[in-house]
This record gives sequence, structure tokens and C-alpha cells, in this order.
Amino acid sequence: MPATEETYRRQPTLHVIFAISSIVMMIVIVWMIMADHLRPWKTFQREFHKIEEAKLRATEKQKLEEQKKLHQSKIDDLNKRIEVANQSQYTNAGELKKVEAELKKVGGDYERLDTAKKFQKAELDSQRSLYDGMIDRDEKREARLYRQSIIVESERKLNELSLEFEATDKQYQELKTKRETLLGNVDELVKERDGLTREVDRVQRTIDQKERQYFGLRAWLRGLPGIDLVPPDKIQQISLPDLTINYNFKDVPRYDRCTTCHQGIDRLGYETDANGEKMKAVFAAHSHLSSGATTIDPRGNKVTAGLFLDGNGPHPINSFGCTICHGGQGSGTDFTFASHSPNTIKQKEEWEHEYHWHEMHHWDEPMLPSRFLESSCLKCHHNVTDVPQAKKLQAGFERITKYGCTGCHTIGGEGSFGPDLTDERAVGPNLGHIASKVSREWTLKWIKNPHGFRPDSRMPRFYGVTNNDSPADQPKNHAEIHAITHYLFATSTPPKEFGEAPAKSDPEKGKELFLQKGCMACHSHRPYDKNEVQLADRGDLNPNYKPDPSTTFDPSGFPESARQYAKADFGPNLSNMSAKFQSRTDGYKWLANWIKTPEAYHPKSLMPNLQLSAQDAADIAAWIISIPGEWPVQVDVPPVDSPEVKQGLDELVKHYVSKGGFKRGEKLEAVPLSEVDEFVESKLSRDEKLMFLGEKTISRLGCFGCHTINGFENAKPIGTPLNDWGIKNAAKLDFGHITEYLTDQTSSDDHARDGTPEFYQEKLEEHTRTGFLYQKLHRPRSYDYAKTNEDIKAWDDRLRMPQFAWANDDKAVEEVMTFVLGLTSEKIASKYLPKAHYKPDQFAVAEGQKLLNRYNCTGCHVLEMPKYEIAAGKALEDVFTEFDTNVRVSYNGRANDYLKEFNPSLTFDPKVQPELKPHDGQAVTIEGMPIGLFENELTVQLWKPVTIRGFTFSVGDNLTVDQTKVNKIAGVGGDFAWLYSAYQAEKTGSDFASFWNRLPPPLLREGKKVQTPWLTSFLNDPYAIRPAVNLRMPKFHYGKLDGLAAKETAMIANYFAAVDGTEFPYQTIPEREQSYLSALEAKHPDYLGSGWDLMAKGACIQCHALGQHKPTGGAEVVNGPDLRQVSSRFRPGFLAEWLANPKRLVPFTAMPQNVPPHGPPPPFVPKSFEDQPSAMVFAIRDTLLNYVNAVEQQLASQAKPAAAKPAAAGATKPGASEE
Amino acid sequence: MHKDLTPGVMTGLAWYYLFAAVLNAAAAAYVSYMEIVSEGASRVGLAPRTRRLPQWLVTTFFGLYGVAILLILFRDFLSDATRIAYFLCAAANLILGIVAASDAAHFAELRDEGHGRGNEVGGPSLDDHQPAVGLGQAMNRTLWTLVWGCVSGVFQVLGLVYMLQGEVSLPEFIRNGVNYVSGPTTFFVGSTVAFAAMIRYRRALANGIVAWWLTNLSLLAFGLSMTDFDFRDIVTKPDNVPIVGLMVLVGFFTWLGLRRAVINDARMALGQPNLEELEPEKTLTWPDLVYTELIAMVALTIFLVVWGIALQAPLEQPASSTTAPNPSKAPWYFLGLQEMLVYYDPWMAGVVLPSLIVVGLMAMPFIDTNKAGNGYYTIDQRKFAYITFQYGFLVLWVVLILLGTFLRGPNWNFFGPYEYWDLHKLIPLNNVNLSDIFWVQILGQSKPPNFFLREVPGMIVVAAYFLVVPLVLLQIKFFQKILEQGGAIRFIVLVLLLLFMASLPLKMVLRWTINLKYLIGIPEYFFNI
Repeated sequence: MPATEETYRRQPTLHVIFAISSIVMMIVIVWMIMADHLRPWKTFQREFHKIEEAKLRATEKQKLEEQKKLHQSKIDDLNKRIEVANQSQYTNAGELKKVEAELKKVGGDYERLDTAKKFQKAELDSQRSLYDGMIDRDEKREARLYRQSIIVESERKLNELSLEFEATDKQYQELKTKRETLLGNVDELVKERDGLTREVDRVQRTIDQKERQYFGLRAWLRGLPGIDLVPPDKIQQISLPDLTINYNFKDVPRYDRCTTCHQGIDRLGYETDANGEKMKAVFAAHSHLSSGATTIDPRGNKVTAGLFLDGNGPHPINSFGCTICHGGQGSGTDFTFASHSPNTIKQKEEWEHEYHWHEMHHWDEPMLPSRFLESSCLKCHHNVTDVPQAKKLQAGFERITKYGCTGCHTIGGEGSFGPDLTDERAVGPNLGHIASKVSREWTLKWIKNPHGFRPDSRMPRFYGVTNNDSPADQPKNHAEIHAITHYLFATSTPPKEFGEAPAKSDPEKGKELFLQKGCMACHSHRPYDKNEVQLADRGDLNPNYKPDPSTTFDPSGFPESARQYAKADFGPNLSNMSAKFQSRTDGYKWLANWIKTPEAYHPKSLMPNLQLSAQDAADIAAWIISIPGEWPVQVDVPPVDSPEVKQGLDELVKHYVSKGGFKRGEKLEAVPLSEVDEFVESKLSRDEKLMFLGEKTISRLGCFGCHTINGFENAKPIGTPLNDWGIKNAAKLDFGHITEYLTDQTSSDDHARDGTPEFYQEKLEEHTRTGFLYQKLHRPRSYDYAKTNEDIKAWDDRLRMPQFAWANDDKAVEEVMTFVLGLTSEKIASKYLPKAHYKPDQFAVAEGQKLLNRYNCTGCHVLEMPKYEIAAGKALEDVFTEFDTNVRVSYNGRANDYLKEFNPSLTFDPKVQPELKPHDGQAVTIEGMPIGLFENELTVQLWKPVTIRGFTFSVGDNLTVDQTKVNKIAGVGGDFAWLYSAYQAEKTGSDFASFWNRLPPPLLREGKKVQTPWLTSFLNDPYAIRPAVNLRMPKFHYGKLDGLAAKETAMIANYFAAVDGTEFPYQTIPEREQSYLSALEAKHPDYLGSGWDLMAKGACIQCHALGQHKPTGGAEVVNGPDLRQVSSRFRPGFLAEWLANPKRLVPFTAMPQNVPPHGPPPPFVPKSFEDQPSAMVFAIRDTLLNYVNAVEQQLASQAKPAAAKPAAAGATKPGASEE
Repeated sequence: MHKDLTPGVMTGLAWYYLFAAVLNAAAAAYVSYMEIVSEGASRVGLAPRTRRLPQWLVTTFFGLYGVAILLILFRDFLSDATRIAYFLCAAANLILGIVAASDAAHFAELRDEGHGRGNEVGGPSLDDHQPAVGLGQAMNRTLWTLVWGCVSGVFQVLGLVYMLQGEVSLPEFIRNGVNYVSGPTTFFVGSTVAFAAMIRYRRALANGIVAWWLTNLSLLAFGLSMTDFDFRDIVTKPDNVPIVGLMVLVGFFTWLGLRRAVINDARMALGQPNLEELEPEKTLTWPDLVYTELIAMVALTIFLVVWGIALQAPLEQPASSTTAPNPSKAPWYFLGLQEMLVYYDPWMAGVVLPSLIVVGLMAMPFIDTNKAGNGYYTIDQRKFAYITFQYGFLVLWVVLILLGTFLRGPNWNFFGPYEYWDLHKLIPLNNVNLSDIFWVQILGQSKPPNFFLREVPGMIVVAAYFLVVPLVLLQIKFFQKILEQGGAIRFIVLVLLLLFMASLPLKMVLRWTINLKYLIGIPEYFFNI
């Protein structure tokens, strides 16, 4: 077919279509470029550059102003001089020309000579190598000749050249200087000016650099859409090859691109923008960029550092990145894909609106809502107690150990990576001897609802929770309760070591002893208020519960300042104890035995042996049992022979028998299905059924997780191990019908349903881990909703997690969540782990902290005195109302006790009054005991030295502050001591500090004070140090297993040493070494004898026993500790300070300063000690440390004739000379 | 819980119906104003242009759309700009539809007798504007325009209702009803029945009016279905969007081919040249081919870029050996194979059958010696080939892909289109092997321990399938002819391929009726059929 002009389609139409499609394509391409250009992170960066520019300009302005203020006149002056100097090149033109010509000539010489010298040097080197070659070839003669002729000549030449060069150089430099002078020395002036404008120049240089890079015209051009030539906006990422992410098949390096948008996160000063307003959240600096940690600067000083991101702090940004702590997808550069997680419903709504945020289900580690941020600390800080900053995490850890979560859920242990809680002990009492303790009736009710007896009990409730509270479940509940009780009582054995309690007892005295012996450090004894009763039980209040607070130790009976300490909850509240026992006599006997020797009943009880006499224990028991006990909440369990219990019992026994046969003793009997009904109904006695069901129920509910139960010694914990719960895939969690459950609950005003806040409702709907965990702790059984029908879930398949007393307390629940969410089992490279950085003392502190919590040491002992903080910038005059007086008293106080050797930093001159400097505006913190309050004026007795306005107050000085103007930080520990001293002070009307002498000592400076081995053995077997004190250090039952006991005592001892930064676990005591003693012997003849005399003839024996000397002070004076123990107990440094001035270490001590700092020495002191009070102190100290030696010397000298022992001072002791 | 209708969804639907309305309005305007080329008429014999599109209408329509686009572009600076833009577009659509329809009514032409050809008897057809042989009598353009215009109006009103946040959603009973009847059986059997109906009633289907109804009804059904959260969730997954496109494309081209075949068959029955013969035999490479290709390239680029910007690649969690995504699905083009895995052992569904598909496609030219249908569309002249291929492609491939994409959820369970994909839904899989049926259920004895003996019944059935069925087929004239004309080898290959193809639906039927797992089950040697 011939070609024609006719085309298949109309060309003009095609042209139009082509034109349109081309235009559309153009538009689409522009769209594509713009879509790229306007990616959110790019927009953020552009915005940030603007902010940065504004901020830099503001800094520039500020620096300029500063410069103006400080140096403007100097700069002006310099500028003028520079101008003048610049003129001088014209005025001196003629001379300058001459000098320059000369300089040119000399410069030529200079360069020529320099070259010639270098060449000659090279020549010489080469000749020397030739010489060496000759020697090697053994051509000694030639070598000698060569040296003499050639080398010497070369050296001479070089020397000549050098001299010549030096001369020229000198000339050259002179000429240069001359020229400079003629030019007016401009360079120097400019340098000087630069020094003054340095700050401003630096900012300007930064601005220039940033302008080139980010916000200048060229940067703008480069960054135009579609050009992107070396674009100013770039994705920024931190590569963390060692901080890998587990991508299931491989651990891959982590890339955190968070800084792409969070541009200001590691920049100091980016808390505020250029106008001083709060910076936009995305650009703001990290809140711990410059605070929260300490570091050592190059000069060895401790300075503050940023806890996070700071290069000097413990978590520098370039080695840690962001997501290892915050979670989220580090490689995401989009708000939603980065897996941000809102912390509140409000924030969520804002994000949805602003960023189209939605829950990301595809990333297993979503960012942690800020309320759970502390979880991540746990990934590396497995010791938990080593991050005291993470308050919520600490609280979670304490709650978990306190409530015995580890009884059912394994946390840590062999092969797992993360915190190890396997040495936490079971928290419930021993039930192996239960029949000797409580009544059956009480046990039934207690199992049914422990919170009905003690609303704050640690025992959680297993019954009456959402999956077994329907009326249809009651027969089964009651049958189980009876069965458990039956099993426990049937297997119970009598405690072997219980004895008869004393026949006579005095409850009145018992009440006094209860307070005096420190019971209230752990227990409270107060009636429950209606508001304390659990929400679920408020409808069943017991009308018979009418306790009389005055018969108890209700907080209201204590002075107001100490009431908070009368609510100790380490042990149970003992106010209604008498309701527990079978009879009063049984109860009395049990209590008396228990109080005296708790280990006889429960070998590893947290209740220590208080070392009470049998009579004291009996008195306390008599008092406790004399207070009528009643249940605050009505709890009823039908009797065992009621039809209801029978029905439930039969049903459950049938269920278990048809599932796995009947267990008779150790033997398993198979029962054919068809015969189960008959077998259960007619062939089993009630007791057999109860026993069978009891065993089944105990293993179902895992009671043995917390209690020792006979027959369950080897049972395995029933809960899910929590080792990696923190990253458990949400798809593996069974949410059941939780949404329906929540929907069916009534909503309260704040949209909470059944106490579940809206925030967690959403989290549950989205099927997230956090939602699941919250509900699991809040309403553990609610996941069984609509599944409790027997056809859907058998009785023993129902959820078993019990509900704790704090289930309705969101704060408590979140504490536990914070801990559990941190259990990710992520393997962190060892270089990131604290153990790679910690020194032994940091470990010791962390480990000791755990034990201190475990044994509630702080119930009695003060670890830190209260602190009073005066914020920076506050005027001190307002706060310290009596400052001048305080200074005067403090200064004058030194007149009596000032010993230079012990206070090198203090000065004292009675003629000169101290000079006070102006306050520099820094914050001031004082630490000490509040000893007096008059209106708002609080007198604080310092326990740590503090320097204010250049004057150093030492321990024991008083400072008066206006308590409304200081920030009080509560002390740590000593609850009972504060309680008792306040109580006694009010009762007797005397000074509150004066009772501290009889109370558990504050353990400040304890590490400096005692030797670690001594403390270890003391903890193991505490003895009475101060005979007068009626409160004894109790003997704790250390170690979950006996073999661990020694480890624990050593850890506690090490803790104190580590806290005070002293040596542990061993100390060298040079004072006991022969070389030390002989050196002193040379100076002071009969050194130890003198020391002995200083004590025996001085004031010591008034209070202390010393050899044959008994305390002479009589009953009025508090008897001091036996001095024999001192040598193994004290560390030398502390002991010397203590002897020199005890009140400057422990202000309330009764021990006086026995060596006067001035005045004539006592007559029995040898001459060599005259005017050396500190030498006397050391002599006493050394004698005490060498006690055995000293005593032996005394014995030896007494064996000599008395005449040979002159009393005159200064005479040489025969005993000493004989040695 | 998830809401069916959110403000965002309603806005989306409003725009969707705007799109449906503008399509119908444009069609109305096209019918009313555009020159008509009769299908089959040579390009020279154009039908006369009867009316011209009024200039003011063009200006108004594009003007309104132009303002709307401007408003949308500057929406950041104007409050409520998008809504106003929507109302402008809606107004443009309504104006276009109404004017086109009223103009058509105004001129109210009589039926153009000149276009209606053929000797068919029957009612008037809406196929007037593209009159063709074999599709019944023509119907007049006025009525056509009125219908298109009205439908456009209905869609537009629906769109406005959504824009004003009126909550119109698919009635719950319809959803429940659809979910209730949905199941793999109904779905597959339904598809087969629909396929048969398509072949049987192809002349009706090829008719524009039927296609038009189907199109608009599916637009409506899709729009209404989108008001269901679960449906929307599945359909709008960026992964699944191509499959929605696939439905439209496959549907359209199948219809187009079918239509041309129907027309051709009618024409050839009348002794007239078929449509392809009316076309010129040769056209120019430039501009006819290259220029068109260039335009197509540009258009496709536009489409891909817009798609790339609008629907970002979906990223899911990192792969894990312990937690597979549920449902874990093959790429869309393999979903048909994956569906076969439900009924066959992997070696069969994954190896034998796919290989045979490829082999069969390659063998086609050697088996099919029928020269009819070369270069033109026809069904009548090669019925067997058409039906076999279309059944294999449409029902056994495309429909299974749709099933796998939209209706297979977690645990590979079947979910109705409006059903929530519940992870915990459990469907009992109580399937038994033929050996169980034979030995245990029929003979009431335990299965023989020897696997060969045990599987004898299955082997007999399989052998019978491959040996006896061909003999049965030979009773049919068509196959006799093939044997005669093509020879034994050709016949055997054809029958084998055919039997393998039929094995899938047959196995499905066996599964649904007698819960058959395998005909032959020898797990000892990993051999199951």
C-alpha cells in the first residue's frame, strides 16, 4: 500500500493531547521536586537555621555590649594608636627606604648563608657515613687519615658558616625590628586589640561560617528546590556500630537520625530562643545536657557535667545516640515513622492534628512515653540501685522486691542478660508451722480477702476479683479456700525450738518496751481509717470494728513533726493481731517466742532477732495480745459442712480427678471418666477431698512463691519469666475481650473506666505492651472477661495473677511498669555497661544500697541528715536571720576546742575577728540536725562543714535559718530515731538532741570511722557497744541461703567504706607497726605508757572501763564503750579526730574533749608532750590501737617494784627502757 | 473501636463521588455534543456533528474547576478553601450534566434509523451512539444523555451529602448478609457461575447499557463499601491498591474484547467484514505508532510519579523467624498460586501446576491448529479455546488473586469483605485423606500399615482420572475431531493439560463436599496428591 498523507489519528488532536500531557508531566515533576524539598525534616532544618541565626546574632549583640562595657576605652585607644602607627610609614618613609634596602641586601646574605650551612651540614653527614664504612671494612688507617684531613676540615667550615650565619641573622633581626619600629609596631597593636575583641570575633567567625553553610545567599541558592547542590539540609545521623539493634536474624548497627530534626538537642543554651523564650520542643536542648552528673576536669576537680549527651558526662551523644534510651526507630526521619509516643491523651490529640500521628505497630520498640523513660536505665544498669537519679525505677524495684513479684516471676538468673533479682527472698511468712500460730477461721477469711484484715497487706487478693466474683463461682471459691486451709493445717508441724513463755507478764511494761525497743522502726500499731480500706471493700465495712486509737501507737499520739515516722510499713501493722490467734494463751505463747527468736519459726525471716530477754519479749507479746483485734472489713466464709462448700468441693474434685486422676499420698490413682462422679461422691471422705483440692489449689495459685509450704519445697514458680518482657511482641499477648470489658464498665468524670485512665484505654485498644501491662497490674483478671464460662475456659485455666493492694494507685502501678518495661534482655556491648567503667566503690555502694533496703536499716539509722537548700541568687541576709551571731559563736567556739592539726582549713586567732566576703550568689546547702524552732527561725546543728561568705562553719556549729525561705530536703533514714527523740523530747520537755545518745547512731562518716572487717563481724554477731543504751543492734537473718550470709554482711560493711571513699575491704593500720612506734618512742620515751597514763589518770576512766579501772562517774554519767574493742573497731584517722574533739564529729555525743587545746598539760604527762596537745591525742589513739601491747606493758611494769616506777613527769619509764 | 465513618473518610468519599459524577456528566456531554463515529464505519463515513458544545458551558465548567484548583493550591492561606473548591466543582458537574441533558431533550431527535443494522428483534438499546451490528436496536441519544446526566446528578448529590458530613453508610444488614454468604465456596462457585453467565449472555453483556449499569453500580457499591472500616482498611492498603486497579483494567479489557468478538461474530454471520477488516491494513510508524507511544510513555510516567508521591511504599516490621506477619502473603501475582496451596501439596501447587501452566502456554500454538480468529476478535469460531483460556485466566488466576488479596486474612482464613480481620478467629480444618474415607468410613476397618496398600484406592482414582476421562471425552464430537485432525500426540497433550487444569476446581469441590485432604497421601515420602 502506498504511503499516504492520511494518518490513523487526527494530528491536531494528538498535538493537543501531547501538549497537555507534557504540561501535566512538567507539573508532576515540579510536584515531585517540591515534595522532596518540603519533606518535614528539611522544613525543620530550615526553621532551625533561622532560629540559630537569630540566636547567634543575639549572642553577637550581647558580646558586643559586654565588650563595650569592659574594653571599649582600651579598644578605642588601641585603634587610635594603630592609626597613628599606620601614619608612621609615611613620616618615616626616607629612613624606611634605607632600612628596607639594607634589609634586602642582608636578607640575601642571610638566605645564601642558610643554604650554604645546610649544604655543608649534608656534606659532613655524608663524610661521616663514609668514615663509618671504612671502620666497618676495618680500614683503620684510611679512616684515621680521612677523619683528620677531610672531616675535620668540613667541621671547621661548618663552624665558620654557622658563626657567619649567626652574625647575619642577628643583623637581619635587628633590621627587621628597626623596620617594625619605623612602621609603628602595628602588628603588636593589632594583636593586642584582637585579644580584647576575641569573644566577639569568635561569634562573628561562627556566623560567617554558618552563613556560608546554612543561611547565607549562596546557601539559599544551593538549597533551592531541584538544585540541591551540596545542600545545606542534610540528614544527620549518629552511627553506633556497637550499640546494635536486634533485627531477628542479625544484630545490625544502630543509626540514630534524631538529630536531623532535634538540632539543638546537644547545644548549650538552646533551652531558650533568641528572645529568651522557651525553645520550641523539637529544637530544645536536652534537659540534662549540663546537669545531673559529675566529672573530673583535667585539674582533678570534681565539676558538674551533663548526665546525657554531654561529651564529658557518662553518656556522650556520639557513643550513645538517642534510641538506646528513648526507644523509637532511629532511622526514621518522619514524625510517625520515628515511632514517637505521646505521654498523655492531650499530647496524642495534638500530634494527630499536627503530624497525622498514629500508633506504629511495625516497630517493636516504640519510643517510651516520657512517663516510662527511666525504664531504659535498666538496660545497662543491672544493679538498679546505681542510678539513684531514676526515682521511678528505684521505686519500681523496691515495690517489686517488697511485694515479692519474684516469687512467681523469674527476673534474671543464669543465662539472662539484665538485672538479677534471683537473690530476693520470698516475702511471705513460713506456713510450715501455721497450726501453732493462727486460727483456722482467721486463715479462711484471710485467704479470701487479706485486705479485709489489713487493707495495706502485701498479700494480694486471689478471690473476689473480676474473673471469680460472680455468684456462680462462690461455691468453688469457698471450697478452694477451705481446701487450702485444710492442707496447710494438716501438713503443719510444731516449731521445734519454741519454749514455754514466762508465766508472768506485764502488758504495761510491754507497751513501753514496744516503743523503746524499736519495734516501730518496721511496724506500725495503729487502727485503720475507713479511707484506707480498699475500694472494693468499702461496701462491707465491719460495724464491730471500733478501735480505740489511744490504746495503740496511733500517729496522733506523737508530736506532729514525727507523725510521719509512726507509719512504718516494712512489717505489718500489729494493731489487730489478737484476732489472728486460736486463743489468747496460744497467741501469747507464740508471740513471746516469735519476738524472742523469730528464726525458730521462720529461719530466714526479715524480722531480726532483737536480742531481748525472754521476759521483755513476753511483756511485749502480752501487750500486743491485750489490744482487742477485729476485722475492719466483714469477710465471711461459710462453714466447711455447708452445702455450698460441699457442692464446690465436689465439682472441683471431679474436675481435677477427671483431668488427671486422684492422688492418694504419693500414689496416683487413675479413675475412669464414667466412674468419676461416683468415686468423688461416695468413695472419698471430705478430708481426702479437701487435702487433694488443697494441694491442687496451692500449686495452681503458686502460694509457695512467697510462703514456705510443706510439700512444695521444690515447686517451680508459676509466673511468666519477665527477663525480656520489655520487648515482648504484643502479638504474643492475649488481650482477650479487654475492649469489651472496658466498654461495659461505667465511665467516670475523667473518662476512666473501672479506674483505667483514658490513656491506657487507648493503649489497650491499640494492643500495645504498655496497655497490657497496666491492665495486668490494675485488673489482672480482666483479660478473662466473658471467658469465665466453663465451656470456654476451665476453672484451672483461668488467669491466676492476683490483685495487689496498690492496684488502684496509678503511681504505684507505673513504678512497677517502669521496671518491667526495662527488662528487655537486650545484649549491650560490654563497653557500654557500667561494670566496664565502675570502680569497686561504685559497685559496693550499689550493692550495699540494696541490702540496706532489704533489711530496712534506715528504719533506725540516719544515713543523711536533712538538708536545707538556699537557691542561687537568693539574698543570704533574708535566709540567715542570725548570721553575725552564728559566725561569732562559731568563731569564739574555736577558742576552746581548736586544734590546728585537725582542722587545717580553719583559722583561729582570738585577737582577729573573721572577715566576711560578699555573697557570690551561688546556691548554699547546709546539712544538719534541726534542733530548735522558734516561730519560723530554725536552728540547724551542722553535721557537715559548710563555707558561707568565706567563713567555714564546722560540724557542731549552729546556723539559724528562716525555714520559709529554704528548701528542705528530707534526710535519709533514722525514722525511728526521729520518732523516739521527738516523742521523748515532748514527754520530758528536754532537748531533743540529748536522746540521740541512746538511739541507733546516725551512720554518717561510718566508713571513715570503723574498720570494715570489724563491721562485718559486728553485723554477724552484734554485741553491746554502749552498755547504757537499751536499744540493741538486732541480729538479722542474712542471706537467702546460709552460705550467702557472710557475703551480705561484707557487702554492707563495704558499702559504708565506699560511700565515704575510704579503703575497703581491708585496712592497713600503720600505727600498729613497729617502725611507727619506735620512731615515736624515740621522741617520747615510754610512748604507750604515757598514752595509758593519759587515759588512766585523765578523764577517760570516768566513763570507760580501762584495765583494772572501773568507770568512776557513777550512774549519772553515761557509761562509755569498753575500750578493749577500740583497737579492732576504729580507723586511726577518725579515732584521732574523735579523741581530739568528739563533738566536732557527733555533736550530740556525751564524750567530752579530754585533751585541752591549750593551758598546762596534766601533771602526769611526760615533759616531751608539753605544748603538744595533738601529740597527746595521738598517744592516746596509738595506745588504744595497740591496746594489747599497752596492757601487757602495764602488767610488766606492775610486776616491778613500785619504787622503780617514779611518777615524776619526764622520767624514763623502766618498762620502756627494758624493751 | 475503629469508626466506620470519620470526617476524613467522608471527605474522601465526597471527592470519590465527585469523580463518579464528572465521569457521568462528561459522558452525557460527550453523547450530547460530540461527533459520533460508528463502530465499524470507516473513518471517512463520519456521522454528522449535530450539536455543538456551547462555548459558555466550556468556559463555565473549566473556569469553575480552575478556580477550584487555585483554591486548593492556596488552601494554606484561605480558610475552608477545600470545601469551597468542592462546591465549585460540584456546581460545574451539575451544570454540565443538566445542560447536556436539557440540550439533548430540547433537540429531542428522533431515532436515527440509519445506524440500527441487523435483523435482530428486541427492545431499544442504549447503544445508539456507538451503533454496532449484533447488539440490538439503537436507542436515541436524547434518552442516553438524560440517563447519564441524571446519574451524574445522583452521584453528585451523594458527594455533597458526604461533604456536608452526612453519615450515609452501607446498611448493617447488607454487610452482614454479604459476610454471611461469603466463603471460599460461594466465592469460587459464584465466579464460575458468573463466568458461565458471561459466556452464555455475552451478547447482552457486550451491550453498552449493561456495561454502563455494571460500571455505575460497581462505582456505587465500591463507594458504599468504603464506609465500612474493615473493607476500607484492606482495600486502601498501599499493597492492595494495584489489585483494585487490576480489577478495573481486567474487567474493562475483557469486556472490550468480548464486545468486539460479539460484534464480529454477528457481522460475519451476516457476511459482512469484521471490524478489524474495516481498519486500514497499514498505518504509518510516524506519527501513528511512535507519537502515540510517546504520549503513552508520558502519561504512564505521570501516573507512576503521582502514585509514588501519593502512596508511599509500605514498610512493615523487620523480618523475624519467630513472628511471621499474619497473614503472610506472597506478592500479588503469586497469590493465585498461594491459594492453590490450600488444596494441594506444595510440590503440586508450587511446582507441577505452575510448570504445566507455562508449558501449556508454550504448547498452545502447537496444539491449536484452528486458523480462525487470526487477527480479529471472535468467540463463535473458537469457542473451546476462548472458554478454556478465559476460565483459566479469569477464574483460576485473577479471581484467586482477588480472593488471596482481599478475602484471605490472618491464619489464611477466609473473611467476608466487611468482616473484621480477627487474629484469633479459628476455623476447624477437619480434612481427611481418601484412604481414611475408604478404609475407615466405608469399610469400617483400620488402615493397612503398608502405605502402598493403604493408598490403593487413591491411586485407582487418580489413574482413572487420567485414563478413563480421556476415553469419555472421546465420546464428544469435538475431541473426536481433534484426534482425527491433529493426531494422537496432540490429543493426549491437550487432554493432559486440560485434566491438570481441571484438577484444581475438582479438588476444590472434593474438599468442600467430602472434606477430602489428599487423594493419595504418602507423608512417608512427602508425596501427596
